Amino acid sequence: MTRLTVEGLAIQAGGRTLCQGLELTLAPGQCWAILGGNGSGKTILLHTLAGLLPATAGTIRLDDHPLAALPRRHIAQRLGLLLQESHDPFPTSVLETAMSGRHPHLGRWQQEGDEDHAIVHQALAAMALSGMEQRVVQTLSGGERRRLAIATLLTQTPQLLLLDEPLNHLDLHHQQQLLHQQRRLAREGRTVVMVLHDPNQALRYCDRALLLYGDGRWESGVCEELLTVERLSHLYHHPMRLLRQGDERLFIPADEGTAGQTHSPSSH
Amino acid sequence: MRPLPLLIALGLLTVLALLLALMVGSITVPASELPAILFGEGSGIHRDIVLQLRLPRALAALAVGGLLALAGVQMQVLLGNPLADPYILGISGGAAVGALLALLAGGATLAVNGASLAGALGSMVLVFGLAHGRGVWSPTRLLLTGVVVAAGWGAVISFLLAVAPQQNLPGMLFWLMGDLSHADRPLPALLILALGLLLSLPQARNLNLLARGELQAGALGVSVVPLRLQLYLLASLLTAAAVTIGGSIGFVGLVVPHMLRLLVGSDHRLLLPASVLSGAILLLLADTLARTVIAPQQLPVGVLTALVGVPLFLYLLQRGYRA
Repeated sequence: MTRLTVEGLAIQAGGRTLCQGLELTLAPGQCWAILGGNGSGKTILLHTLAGLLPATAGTIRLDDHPLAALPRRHIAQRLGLLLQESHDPFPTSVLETAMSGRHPHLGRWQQEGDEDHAIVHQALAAMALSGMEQRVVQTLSGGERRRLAIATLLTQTPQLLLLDEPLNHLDLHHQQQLLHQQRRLAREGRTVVMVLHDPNQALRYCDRALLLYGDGRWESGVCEELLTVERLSHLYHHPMRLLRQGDERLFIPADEGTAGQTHSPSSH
Repeated sequence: MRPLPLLIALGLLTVLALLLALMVGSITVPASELPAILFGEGSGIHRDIVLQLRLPRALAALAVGGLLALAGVQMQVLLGNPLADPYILGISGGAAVGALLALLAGGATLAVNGASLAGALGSMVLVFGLAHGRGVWSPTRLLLTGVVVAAGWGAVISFLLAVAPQQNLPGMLFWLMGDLSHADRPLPALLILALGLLLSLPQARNLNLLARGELQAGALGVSVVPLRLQLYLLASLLTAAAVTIGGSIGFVGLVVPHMLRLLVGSDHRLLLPASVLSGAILLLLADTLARTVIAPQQLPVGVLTALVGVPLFLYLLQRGYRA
Protein backbone atom coordinates (compact mmCIF):
# COMPACT_ATOMS: atom_id res chain seq x y z
CA MET A 1 0.00 0.00 0.00
CA THR A 2 1.57 3.21 -1.13
CA ARG A 3 0.79 6.49 0.53
CA LEU A 4 2.12 9.93 -0.31
CA THR A 5 2.03 12.54 2.42
CA VAL A 6 2.75 16.21 1.91
CA GLU A 7 3.54 18.49 4.84
CA GLY A 8 3.93 22.26 4.67
CA LEU A 9 4.81 22.16 1.00
CA ALA A 10 5.66 25.47 -0.66
CA ILE A 11 6.32 25.83 -4.38
CA GLN A 12 7.78 28.91 -5.97
CA ALA A 13 8.41 29.38 -9.67
CA GLY A 14 9.26 32.40 -11.75
CA GLY A 15 9.37 34.59 -8.64
CA ARG A 16 5.79 33.69 -7.67
CA THR A 17 4.58 31.56 -4.81
CA LEU A 18 2.26 29.03 -6.36
CA CYS A 19 1.31 27.18 -3.23
CA GLN A 20 2.09 27.64 0.42
CA GLY A 21 1.74 25.34 3.40
CA LEU A 22 0.15 22.56 1.37
CA GLU A 23 -0.99 19.58 3.43
CA LEU A 24 -2.15 16.47 1.60
CA THR A 25 -2.41 12.75 2.15
CA LEU A 26 -2.85 10.69 -0.98
CA ALA A 27 -4.07 7.32 0.23
CA PRO A 28 -4.96 4.06 -1.55
CA GLY A 29 -8.47 4.03 -2.98
CA GLN A 30 -8.63 7.76 -3.49
CA CYS A 31 -9.22 9.47 -6.81
CA TRP A 32 -8.13 13.12 -6.78
CA ALA A 33 -8.72 15.97 -9.20
CA ILE A 34 -6.41 18.97 -9.26
CA LEU A 35 -8.18 22.04 -10.60
CA GLY A 36 -6.86 25.53 -11.24
CA GLY A 37 -6.39 28.15 -13.92
CA ASN A 38 -3.53 28.28 -16.40
CA GLY A 39 -0.21 28.85 -14.69
CA SER A 40 -1.57 28.09 -11.24
CA GLY A 41 1.11 25.47 -10.64
CA LYS A 42 -0.73 22.22 -11.32
CA THR A 43 2.03 20.73 -13.43
CA ILE A 44 4.82 21.92 -11.17
CA LEU A 45 3.00 20.44 -8.20
CA LEU A 46 2.65 17.11 -9.98
CA HIS A 47 6.34 17.06 -10.92
CA THR A 48 7.24 17.97 -7.34
CA LEU A 49 5.05 15.16 -6.00
CA ALA A 50 6.86 12.80 -8.39
CA GLY A 51 10.20 13.96 -6.98
CA LEU A 52 11.34 15.45 -10.28
CA LEU A 53 11.51 18.99 -8.91
CA PRO A 54 12.74 20.09 -5.50
CA ALA A 55 10.18 21.63 -3.15
CA THR A 56 10.84 25.19 -1.98
CA ALA A 57 9.84 24.18 1.54
CA GLY A 58 8.13 21.30 3.27
CA THR A 59 8.49 17.55 2.97
CA ILE A 60 6.97 14.86 0.80
CA ARG A 61 7.01 11.30 2.08
CA LEU A 62 6.45 8.14 0.10
CA ASP A 63 5.47 5.45 2.62
CA ASP A 64 7.16 7.42 5.43
CA HIS A 65 10.43 7.86 3.54
CA PRO A 66 11.40 11.38 2.46
CA LEU A 67 10.93 11.39 -1.30
CA ALA A 68 14.07 13.44 -1.91
CA ALA A 69 16.24 10.71 -0.37
CA LEU A 70 14.78 7.79 -2.34
CA PRO A 71 16.46 6.41 -5.48
CA ARG A 72 14.59 7.29 -8.67
CA ARG A 73 14.12 3.62 -9.51
CA HIS A 74 12.50 2.92 -6.15
CA ILE A 75 10.10 5.83 -6.69
CA ALA A 76 9.30 4.75 -10.26
CA GLN A 77 8.34 1.26 -9.09
CA ARG A 78 5.58 2.80 -6.98
CA LEU A 79 4.73 6.14 -8.51
CA GLY A 80 3.97 6.85 -12.17
CA LEU A 81 3.64 10.20 -13.90
CA LEU A 82 1.85 10.93 -17.15
CA LEU A 83 3.46 14.04 -18.62
CA GLN A 84 1.34 16.73 -20.23
CA GLU A 85 3.13 16.24 -23.55
CA SER A 86 5.21 13.37 -24.81
CA HIS A 87 8.33 13.94 -26.77
CA ASP A 88 9.74 11.46 -29.29
CA PRO A 89 12.54 12.94 -31.38
CA PHE A 90 13.78 9.51 -32.50
CA PRO A 91 11.77 6.87 -34.36
CA THR A 92 10.57 4.14 -32.00
CA SER A 93 7.84 1.55 -32.29
CA VAL A 94 4.65 1.52 -30.26
CA LEU A 95 5.76 -1.73 -28.63
CA GLU A 96 9.18 -0.35 -27.63
CA THR A 97 7.59 2.77 -26.19
CA ALA A 98 5.00 0.90 -24.14
CA MET A 99 7.68 -1.55 -23.00
CA SER A 100 9.70 1.32 -21.54
CA GLY A 101 7.18 1.36 -18.69
CA ARG A 102 8.77 -1.88 -17.47
CA HIS A 103 12.15 -0.15 -17.07
CA PRO A 104 12.02 0.39 -13.29
CA HIS A 105 11.11 -3.25 -12.74
CA LEU A 106 13.98 -4.70 -14.76
CA GLY A 107 17.55 -5.19 -13.61
CA ARG A 108 20.36 -3.56 -15.55
CA TRP A 109 21.09 -6.56 -17.77
CA GLN A 110 17.65 -8.14 -17.56
CA GLN A 111 15.72 -8.65 -20.78
CA GLU A 112 11.97 -8.23 -20.93
CA GLY A 113 10.29 -11.57 -20.24
CA ASP A 114 6.94 -13.16 -21.04
CA GLU A 115 5.32 -11.50 -18.07
CA ASP A 116 6.46 -8.06 -19.20
CA HIS A 117 5.13 -8.75 -22.69
CA ALA A 118 1.80 -9.84 -21.22
CA ILE A 119 1.55 -6.63 -19.19
CA VAL A 120 2.38 -4.50 -22.22
CA HIS A 121 -0.16 -6.21 -24.46
CA GLN A 122 -2.81 -5.86 -21.79
CA ALA A 123 -2.06 -2.14 -21.44
CA LEU A 124 -2.13 -1.61 -25.21
CA ALA A 125 -5.44 -3.46 -25.40
CA ALA A 126 -6.85 -1.33 -22.59
CA MET A 127 -5.99 1.80 -24.57
CA ALA A 128 -7.35 0.34 -27.85
CA LEU A 129 -3.91 0.15 -29.43
CA SER A 130 -3.79 -3.59 -30.11
CA GLY A 131 -2.50 -4.36 -33.58
CA MET A 132 -0.43 -1.17 -33.72
CA GLU A 133 2.60 -2.66 -31.94
CA GLN A 134 4.97 -2.27 -34.89
CA ARG A 135 3.81 1.20 -35.92
CA VAL A 136 6.38 3.99 -35.57
CA VAL A 137 5.27 6.46 -32.93
CA GLN A 138 5.80 9.46 -35.23
CA THR A 139 3.13 8.12 -37.59
CA LEU A 140 0.42 8.03 -34.91
CA SER A 141 -2.24 10.69 -34.51
CA GLY A 142 -2.19 13.03 -31.52
CA GLY A 143 -4.89 11.05 -29.74
CA GLU A 144 -3.19 7.73 -30.43
CA ARG A 145 0.08 9.06 -29.06
CA ARG A 146 -1.75 10.21 -25.94
CA ARG A 147 -3.24 6.76 -25.51
CA LEU A 148 0.21 5.26 -25.98
CA ALA A 149 1.59 7.50 -23.22
CA ILE A 150 -1.22 6.33 -20.94
CA ALA A 151 -0.56 2.70 -21.92
CA THR A 152 3.08 3.22 -20.95
CA LEU A 153 1.94 4.49 -17.56
CA LEU A 154 -0.25 1.41 -17.14
CA THR A 155 2.69 -0.81 -18.12
CA GLN A 156 4.66 0.75 -15.29
CA THR A 157 1.98 -0.64 -12.91
CA PRO A 158 2.47 2.03 -10.24
CA GLN A 159 0.35 2.06 -7.08
CA LEU A 160 0.15 5.84 -7.32
CA LEU A 161 -0.74 7.42 -10.66
CA LEU A 162 -0.22 11.13 -11.32
CA LEU A 163 -1.80 12.23 -14.59
CA ASP A 164 -1.19 15.68 -16.04
CA GLU A 165 -4.16 16.61 -18.23
CA PRO A 166 -4.71 13.00 -19.31
CA LEU A 167 -7.63 13.96 -21.55
CA ASN A 168 -5.55 16.13 -23.91
CA HIS A 169 -6.05 15.10 -27.56
CA LEU A 170 -8.53 12.36 -26.64
CA ASP A 171 -11.90 12.15 -28.35
CA LEU A 172 -15.06 12.11 -26.28
CA HIS A 173 -15.32 8.32 -26.17
CA HIS A 174 -11.72 7.84 -25.07
CA GLN A 175 -12.05 10.64 -22.51
CA GLN A 176 -14.95 8.83 -20.88
CA GLN A 177 -13.12 5.52 -21.06
CA LEU A 178 -10.05 6.99 -19.40
CA LEU A 179 -11.98 8.64 -16.59
CA HIS A 180 -13.86 5.42 -16.02
CA GLN A 181 -10.65 3.38 -16.05
CA GLN A 182 -8.90 5.64 -13.55
CA ARG A 183 -11.88 5.60 -11.21
CA ARG A 184 -11.90 1.81 -11.39
CA LEU A 185 -8.15 1.66 -10.64
CA ALA A 186 -8.72 3.84 -7.57
CA ARG A 187 -11.60 1.65 -6.41
CA GLU A 188 -9.35 -1.37 -6.78
CA GLY A 189 -6.95 0.20 -4.29
CA ARG A 190 -4.57 2.39 -6.26
CA THR A 191 -4.24 6.14 -5.82
CA VAL A 192 -5.11 8.36 -8.77
CA VAL A 193 -4.38 12.07 -9.10
CA MET A 194 -5.54 13.83 -12.27
CA VAL A 195 -5.10 17.41 -13.42
CA LEU A 196 -8.43 18.23 -15.05
CA HIS A 197 -9.90 21.32 -16.64
CA ASP A 198 -13.56 20.43 -16.33
CA PRO A 199 -15.02 20.58 -12.80
CA ASN A 200 -17.89 18.37 -13.96
CA GLN A 201 -15.50 15.53 -14.73
CA ALA A 202 -13.95 16.03 -11.30
CA LEU A 203 -17.36 15.89 -9.68
CA ARG A 204 -18.41 12.80 -11.56
CA TYR A 205 -15.26 10.67 -11.49
CA CYS A 206 -13.16 11.86 -8.56
CA ASP A 207 -13.93 11.71 -4.87
CA ARG A 208 -11.53 14.44 -3.80
CA ALA A 209 -10.27 17.66 -5.28
CA LEU A 210 -7.46 20.11 -4.73
CA LEU A 211 -8.02 23.67 -5.90
CA LEU A 212 -4.96 25.77 -6.68
CA TYR A 213 -5.60 29.49 -6.85
CA GLY A 214 -2.16 30.30 -8.23
CA ASP A 215 -1.26 32.84 -5.52
CA GLY A 216 -0.25 30.43 -2.79
CA ARG A 217 -3.78 29.66 -1.59
CA TRP A 218 -5.23 26.21 -1.96
CA GLU A 219 -8.25 24.24 -0.77
CA SER A 220 -8.81 20.53 -0.66
CA GLY A 221 -11.68 18.29 0.29
CA VAL A 222 -14.41 15.98 -0.85
CA CYS A 223 -15.63 16.97 -4.32
CA GLU A 224 -19.30 17.07 -3.34
CA GLU A 225 -18.64 19.71 -0.69
CA LEU A 226 -15.68 21.53 -2.17
CA LEU A 227 -16.98 22.21 -5.65
CA THR A 228 -19.39 25.11 -5.45
CA VAL A 229 -20.32 27.90 -7.84
CA GLU A 230 -18.61 30.46 -5.59
CA ARG A 231 -15.30 28.63 -5.37
CA LEU A 232 -15.16 27.73 -9.06
CA SER A 233 -16.02 31.26 -10.15
CA HIS A 234 -13.20 32.49 -8.00
CA LEU A 235 -10.84 29.73 -9.15
CA TYR A 236 -11.30 30.38 -12.86
CA HIS A 237 -11.88 34.14 -12.60
CA HIS A 238 -15.04 33.54 -14.53
CA PRO A 239 -18.65 33.53 -13.35
CA MET A 240 -20.12 30.03 -13.19
CA ARG A 241 -23.66 28.75 -13.01
CA LEU A 242 -25.03 25.53 -11.63
CA LEU A 243 -27.58 23.42 -13.46
CA ARG A 244 -29.41 20.67 -11.63
CA GLN A 245 -31.07 17.78 -13.33
CA GLY A 246 -32.38 15.23 -10.93
CA ASP A 247 -29.47 14.21 -8.74
CA GLU A 248 -26.92 15.44 -11.20
CA ARG A 249 -25.19 18.78 -10.85
CA LEU A 250 -23.60 20.52 -13.81
CA PHE A 251 -21.36 23.59 -13.69
CA ILE A 252 -21.45 25.77 -16.76
CA PRO A 253 -19.59 29.01 -17.43
CA ALA A 254 -21.80 32.07 -17.65
CA ASP A 255 -22.30 33.81 -20.98
CA GLU A 256 -19.26 35.58 -22.38
CA GLY A 257 -21.04 38.92 -22.37
CA THR A 258 -21.08 38.94 -18.61
CA ALA A 259 -17.56 37.57 -18.25
CA GLY A 260 -14.61 39.73 -17.45
CA GLN A 261 -16.72 42.41 -15.77
CA THR A 262 -16.29 40.97 -12.35
CA HIS A 263 -13.90 38.63 -10.66
CA SER A 264 -16.16 38.18 -7.70
CA PRO A 265 -18.23 35.03 -7.46
CA SER A 266 -21.64 35.33 -9.06
CA SER A 267 -24.57 34.18 -7.06
CA HIS A 268 -26.88 31.75 -8.76
CA MET B 1 16.12 -8.30 -38.00
CA ARG B 2 16.88 -10.19 -34.81
CA PRO B 3 19.60 -8.53 -32.73
CA LEU B 4 22.12 -11.36 -32.50
CA PRO B 5 22.20 -12.35 -36.20
CA LEU B 6 22.49 -8.67 -37.11
CA LEU B 7 25.48 -8.13 -34.81
CA ILE B 8 27.13 -11.32 -36.07
CA ALA B 9 26.60 -10.21 -39.68
CA LEU B 10 28.07 -6.78 -38.94
CA GLY B 11 31.00 -8.42 -37.16
CA LEU B 12 31.72 -10.59 -40.19
CA LEU B 13 31.50 -7.57 -42.48
CA THR B 14 33.97 -5.76 -40.24
CA VAL B 15 36.44 -8.62 -40.60
CA LEU B 16 35.93 -8.69 -44.37
CA ALA B 17 36.48 -4.93 -44.61
CA LEU B 18 39.63 -5.29 -42.52
CA LEU B 19 40.98 -8.07 -44.76
CA LEU B 20 40.18 -6.03 -47.85
CA ALA B 21 42.10 -3.09 -46.41
CA LEU B 22 45.11 -5.36 -45.88
CA MET B 23 45.00 -6.73 -49.44
CA VAL B 24 44.36 -3.66 -51.54
CA GLY B 25 46.88 -0.98 -52.41
CA SER B 26 49.66 -0.12 -54.78
CA ILE B 27 50.90 -3.67 -54.30
CA THR B 28 48.12 -6.25 -54.04
CA VAL B 29 48.65 -8.87 -51.37
CA PRO B 30 46.67 -12.01 -52.28
CA ALA B 31 44.17 -13.24 -49.71
CA SER B 32 45.91 -16.61 -49.66
CA GLU B 33 49.02 -15.05 -48.15
CA LEU B 34 47.22 -13.13 -45.39
CA PRO B 35 46.78 -15.96 -42.85
CA ALA B 36 50.48 -16.76 -42.93
CA ILE B 37 51.46 -13.11 -42.59
CA LEU B 38 49.02 -12.38 -39.78
CA PHE B 39 50.10 -15.44 -37.81
CA GLY B 40 53.72 -14.41 -37.86
CA GLU B 41 54.99 -16.34 -40.87
CA GLY B 42 55.52 -15.31 -44.42
CA SER B 43 58.28 -13.04 -45.50
CA GLY B 44 59.47 -10.31 -47.74
CA ILE B 45 57.89 -7.15 -48.88
CA HIS B 46 54.30 -8.35 -48.54
CA ARG B 47 54.81 -9.05 -44.89
CA ASP B 48 56.29 -5.62 -44.24
CA ILE B 49 53.56 -3.87 -46.18
CA VAL B 50 50.79 -5.65 -44.34
CA LEU B 51 52.18 -5.60 -40.81
CA GLN B 52 53.93 -2.25 -40.79
CA LEU B 53 51.83 -0.10 -43.09
CA ARG B 54 48.38 -1.44 -43.73
CA LEU B 55 47.45 -3.21 -40.50
CA PRO B 56 48.11 -0.26 -38.14
CA ARG B 57 46.28 2.12 -40.43
CA ALA B 58 43.34 -0.27 -40.95
CA LEU B 59 43.01 -0.83 -37.21
CA ALA B 60 43.14 2.94 -36.67
CA ALA B 61 40.38 3.39 -39.24
CA LEU B 62 38.33 0.70 -37.52
CA ALA B 63 38.81 2.31 -34.12
CA VAL B 64 38.13 5.87 -35.27
CA GLY B 65 35.00 4.81 -37.17
CA GLY B 66 33.70 3.01 -34.10
CA LEU B 67 34.57 5.93 -31.80
CA LEU B 68 32.81 8.49 -33.99
CA ALA B 69 29.68 6.38 -34.43
CA LEU B 70 29.47 5.65 -30.69
CA ALA B 71 30.02 9.30 -29.78
CA GLY B 72 27.40 10.27 -32.37
CA VAL B 73 24.73 8.05 -30.83
CA GLN B 74 25.53 9.44 -27.38
CA MET B 75 25.55 13.08 -28.47
CA GLN B 76 22.17 12.64 -30.16
CA VAL B 77 20.65 11.26 -26.98
CA LEU B 78 22.37 13.83 -24.76
CA LEU B 79 21.07 16.72 -26.84
CA GLY B 80 17.75 15.08 -27.67
CA ASN B 81 18.41 15.97 -31.26
CA PRO B 82 18.76 13.57 -34.19
CA LEU B 83 20.83 16.18 -36.03
CA ALA B 84 23.59 16.21 -33.43
CA ASP B 85 26.99 14.74 -34.30
CA PRO B 86 30.19 14.30 -32.27
CA TYR B 87 31.54 17.63 -33.49
CA ILE B 88 28.50 19.75 -32.74
CA LEU B 89 29.75 20.94 -29.34
CA GLY B 90 33.02 22.27 -30.72
CA ILE B 91 35.32 19.45 -29.66
CA SER B 92 36.67 18.96 -33.17
CA GLY B 93 37.01 22.74 -33.56
CA GLY B 94 39.16 22.96 -30.46
CA ALA B 95 41.19 19.99 -31.62
CA ALA B 96 41.63 21.54 -35.05
CA VAL B 97 42.91 24.81 -33.62
CA GLY B 98 45.43 22.88 -31.53
CA ALA B 99 46.52 20.73 -34.45
CA LEU B 100 46.79 23.63 -36.90
CA LEU B 101 48.90 25.63 -34.45
CA ALA B 102 51.22 22.64 -34.07
CA LEU B 103 51.39 22.23 -37.85
CA LEU B 104 52.19 25.93 -38.26
CA ALA B 105 54.97 25.55 -35.75
CA GLY B 106 56.27 22.65 -37.81
CA GLY B 107 55.51 20.04 -35.19
CA ALA B 108 55.87 16.33 -35.83
CA THR B 109 52.96 13.86 -35.73
CA LEU B 110 53.26 13.38 -32.01
CA ALA B 111 53.19 17.12 -31.31
CA VAL B 112 50.20 17.57 -33.61
CA ASN B 113 48.35 14.76 -31.87
CA GLY B 114 49.17 16.15 -28.45
CA ALA B 115 48.10 19.65 -29.41
CA SER B 116 44.82 18.44 -30.91
CA LEU B 117 44.05 16.37 -27.82
CA ALA B 118 44.74 19.41 -25.64
CA GLY B 119 42.50 21.52 -27.88
CA ALA B 120 39.68 18.96 -27.72
CA LEU B 121 39.83 18.63 -23.94
CA GLY B 122 40.11 22.39 -23.52
CA SER B 123 37.05 22.93 -25.66
CA MET B 124 35.15 20.27 -23.73
CA VAL B 125 35.91 21.95 -20.39
CA LEU B 126 35.09 25.37 -21.81
CA VAL B 127 31.69 24.34 -23.20
CA PHE B 128 30.78 22.45 -20.06
CA GLY B 129 31.73 25.36 -17.83
CA LEU B 130 29.86 27.90 -19.93
CA ALA B 131 26.75 25.71 -20.33
CA HIS B 132 26.71 25.07 -16.60
CA GLY B 133 27.00 28.78 -15.85
CA ARG B 134 24.53 30.00 -13.29
CA GLY B 135 21.45 28.65 -14.96
CA VAL B 136 19.98 25.24 -15.51
CA TRP B 137 21.95 22.69 -17.48
CA SER B 138 19.40 22.03 -20.19
CA PRO B 139 20.10 20.24 -23.47
CA THR B 140 19.16 23.40 -25.37
CA ARG B 141 21.58 25.53 -23.40
CA LEU B 142 24.34 22.98 -23.87
CA LEU B 143 23.60 22.76 -27.59
CA LEU B 144 23.60 26.53 -28.08
CA THR B 145 26.79 26.98 -26.06
CA GLY B 146 28.51 24.25 -28.04
CA VAL B 147 27.37 25.53 -31.40
CA VAL B 148 28.55 29.05 -30.59
CA VAL B 149 31.91 27.87 -29.27
CA ALA B 150 32.27 25.71 -32.40
CA ALA B 151 31.56 28.79 -34.53
CA GLY B 152 34.28 30.63 -32.61
CA TRP B 153 36.76 27.84 -33.33
CA GLY B 154 35.70 27.99 -36.98
CA ALA B 155 36.70 31.66 -37.10
CA VAL B 156 40.07 30.89 -35.52
CA ILE B 157 40.61 28.07 -38.05
CA SER B 158 39.84 30.39 -40.97
CA PHE B 159 42.23 32.95 -39.51
CA LEU B 160 45.01 30.38 -39.18
CA LEU B 161 44.47 29.21 -42.76
CA ALA B 162 44.53 32.79 -44.02
CA VAL B 163 47.84 33.65 -42.40
CA ALA B 164 49.55 30.26 -42.90
CA PRO B 165 52.51 30.08 -45.29
CA GLN B 166 51.82 28.33 -48.61
CA GLN B 167 53.87 25.25 -47.87
CA ASN B 168 51.93 24.46 -44.68
CA LEU B 169 48.49 24.66 -46.27
CA PRO B 170 48.15 21.15 -47.76
CA GLY B 171 48.95 19.48 -44.45
CA MET B 172 46.53 21.74 -42.61
CA LEU B 173 43.74 21.12 -45.11
CA PHE B 174 44.30 17.36 -44.97
CA TRP B 175 44.03 17.48 -41.19
CA LEU B 176 40.81 19.47 -41.39
CA MET B 177 39.21 17.09 -43.86
CA GLY B 178 40.24 14.08 -41.83
CA ASP B 179 43.18 11.92 -42.76
CA LEU B 180 44.50 8.64 -41.47
CA SER B 181 47.85 8.53 -43.25
CA HIS B 182 49.72 9.33 -40.04
CA ALA B 183 47.72 6.95 -37.89
CA ASP B 184 50.32 4.33 -37.09
CA ARG B 185 49.56 3.58 -33.42
CA PRO B 186 46.04 2.13 -33.24
CA LEU B 187 46.26 0.43 -29.85
CA PRO B 188 45.23 3.37 -27.59
CA ALA B 189 42.24 4.12 -29.82
CA LEU B 190 41.13 0.49 -29.80
CA LEU B 191 41.39 0.38 -26.02
CA ILE B 192 39.42 3.61 -25.64
CA LEU B 193 36.76 2.26 -28.00
CA ALA B 194 36.46 -0.95 -26.00
CA LEU B 195 36.27 1.01 -22.76
CA GLY B 196 33.68 3.38 -24.19
CA LEU B 197 31.49 0.50 -25.30
CA LEU B 198 31.87 -1.26 -21.96
CA LEU B 199 30.83 1.89 -20.10
CA SER B 200 27.87 2.69 -22.33
CA LEU B 201 26.29 -0.75 -22.76
CA PRO B 202 25.09 -0.92 -19.12
CA GLN B 203 23.31 2.41 -19.74
CA ALA B 204 21.65 1.29 -22.98
CA ARG B 205 18.10 1.05 -21.62
CA ASN B 206 18.53 4.33 -19.75
CA LEU B 207 19.49 5.93 -23.05
CA ASN B 208 16.24 4.67 -24.60
CA LEU B 209 14.39 6.67 -21.98
CA LEU B 210 16.61 9.74 -21.97
CA ALA B 211 16.02 9.95 -25.74
CA ARG B 212 12.40 10.75 -24.86
CA GLY B 213 13.30 13.66 -22.64
CA GLU B 214 14.71 14.05 -19.15
CA LEU B 215 11.29 14.30 -17.49
CA GLN B 216 10.06 11.05 -19.04
CA ALA B 217 13.35 9.37 -18.16
CA GLY B 218 13.15 10.62 -14.58
CA ALA B 219 9.54 9.52 -14.25
CA LEU B 220 10.52 6.01 -15.30
CA GLY B 221 13.31 5.73 -12.78
CA VAL B 222 16.44 7.08 -14.50
CA SER B 223 18.78 9.28 -12.46
CA VAL B 224 19.07 11.88 -15.17
CA VAL B 225 21.77 14.21 -13.87
CA PRO B 226 24.57 11.66 -13.39
CA LEU B 227 23.61 9.93 -16.63
CA ARG B 228 23.86 13.16 -18.62
CA LEU B 229 27.19 13.99 -17.03
CA GLN B 230 28.53 10.56 -17.91
CA LEU B 231 27.23 10.89 -21.47
CA TYR B 232 28.82 14.29 -21.92
CA LEU B 233 32.20 13.21 -20.58
CA LEU B 234 32.25 9.90 -22.42
CA ALA B 235 31.05 11.23 -25.77
CA SER B 236 33.54 14.11 -25.54
CA LEU B 237 36.47 11.86 -24.67
CA LEU B 238 35.61 9.39 -27.44
CA THR B 239 35.40 12.27 -29.91
CA ALA B 240 38.67 13.75 -28.65
CA ALA B 241 40.38 10.38 -29.13
CA ALA B 242 38.99 9.99 -32.64
CA VAL B 243 39.90 13.51 -33.70
CA THR B 244 43.38 13.24 -32.26
CA ILE B 245 44.10 10.22 -34.47
CA GLY B 246 42.25 11.04 -37.65
CA GLY B 247 41.47 14.75 -37.69
CA SER B 248 37.88 15.85 -38.14
CA ILE B 249 36.57 13.08 -40.34
CA GLY B 250 33.04 14.16 -41.13
CA PHE B 251 29.83 12.30 -41.64
CA VAL B 252 30.50 9.02 -39.79
CA GLY B 253 29.23 10.28 -36.45
CA LEU B 254 26.07 11.80 -37.91
CA VAL B 255 25.10 9.32 -40.56
CA VAL B 256 25.92 5.96 -39.04
CA PRO B 257 23.63 6.39 -36.00
CA HIS B 258 20.92 7.65 -38.33
CA MET B 259 21.22 4.78 -40.77
CA LEU B 260 21.11 2.33 -37.90
CA ARG B 261 18.04 3.99 -36.39
CA LEU B 262 16.35 3.64 -39.77
CA LEU B 263 17.41 0.03 -40.12
CA VAL B 264 17.12 -1.46 -36.63
CA GLY B 265 15.08 1.02 -34.57
CA SER B 266 16.05 3.00 -31.52
CA ASP B 267 16.75 0.36 -28.88
CA HIS B 268 20.22 1.37 -27.74
CA ARG B 269 21.01 -2.14 -26.52
CA LEU B 270 21.29 -2.99 -30.22
CA LEU B 271 22.01 0.47 -31.56
CA LEU B 272 25.23 1.03 -29.59
CA PRO B 273 27.14 -2.09 -30.70
CA ALA B 274 25.64 -2.02 -34.20
CA SER B 275 26.71 1.61 -34.65
CA VAL B 276 30.24 0.86 -33.51
CA LEU B 277 30.57 -1.98 -36.03
CA SER B 278 28.93 -0.01 -38.84
CA GLY B 279 31.13 3.03 -38.19
CA ALA B 280 34.17 0.79 -38.27
CA ILE B 281 33.07 -0.79 -41.58
CA LEU B 282 32.29 2.55 -43.19
CA LEU B 283 35.60 4.12 -42.24
CA LEU B 284 37.60 1.01 -43.19
CA LEU B 285 36.05 1.00 -46.66
CA ALA B 286 36.39 4.75 -47.05
CA ASP B 287 40.04 4.71 -46.02
CA THR B 288 40.81 1.81 -48.35
CA LEU B 289 39.26 3.81 -51.17
CA ALA B 290 41.12 6.95 -50.08
CA ARG B 291 44.41 5.09 -50.44
CA THR B 292 43.65 3.51 -53.78
CA VAL B 293 41.14 5.43 -55.84
CA ILE B 294 43.63 7.84 -57.42
CA ALA B 295 46.81 6.05 -56.34
CA PRO B 296 49.63 6.83 -55.93
CA GLN B 297 48.09 10.06 -54.65
CA GLN B 298 46.10 9.71 -51.42
CA LEU B 299 42.85 11.48 -50.68
CA PRO B 300 41.78 12.69 -47.22
CA VAL B 301 39.44 10.00 -45.92
CA GLY B 302 36.86 12.64 -44.91
CA VAL B 303 36.17 13.27 -48.59
CA LEU B 304 35.44 9.58 -49.11
CA THR B 305 33.20 9.17 -46.04
CA ALA B 306 30.99 11.89 -47.46
CA LEU B 307 31.10 10.50 -50.99
CA VAL B 308 30.17 7.02 -49.75
CA GLY B 309 27.83 8.17 -47.02
CA VAL B 310 25.70 10.76 -48.80
CA PRO B 311 24.12 8.48 -51.43
CA LEU B 312 23.78 5.62 -48.96
CA PHE B 313 22.01 7.82 -46.47
CA LEU B 314 19.75 9.46 -49.03
CA TYR B 315 18.73 6.03 -50.31
CA LEU B 316 17.81 4.87 -46.81
CA LEU B 317 15.91 8.07 -46.13
CA GLN B 318 13.91 7.57 -49.32
CA ARG B 319 13.15 4.01 -48.32
CA GLY B 320 11.74 5.31 -45.06
CA TYR B 321 11.58 3.83 -41.59
CA ARG B 322 11.59 0.07 -41.25
CA ALA B 323 8.18 -1.44 -41.76
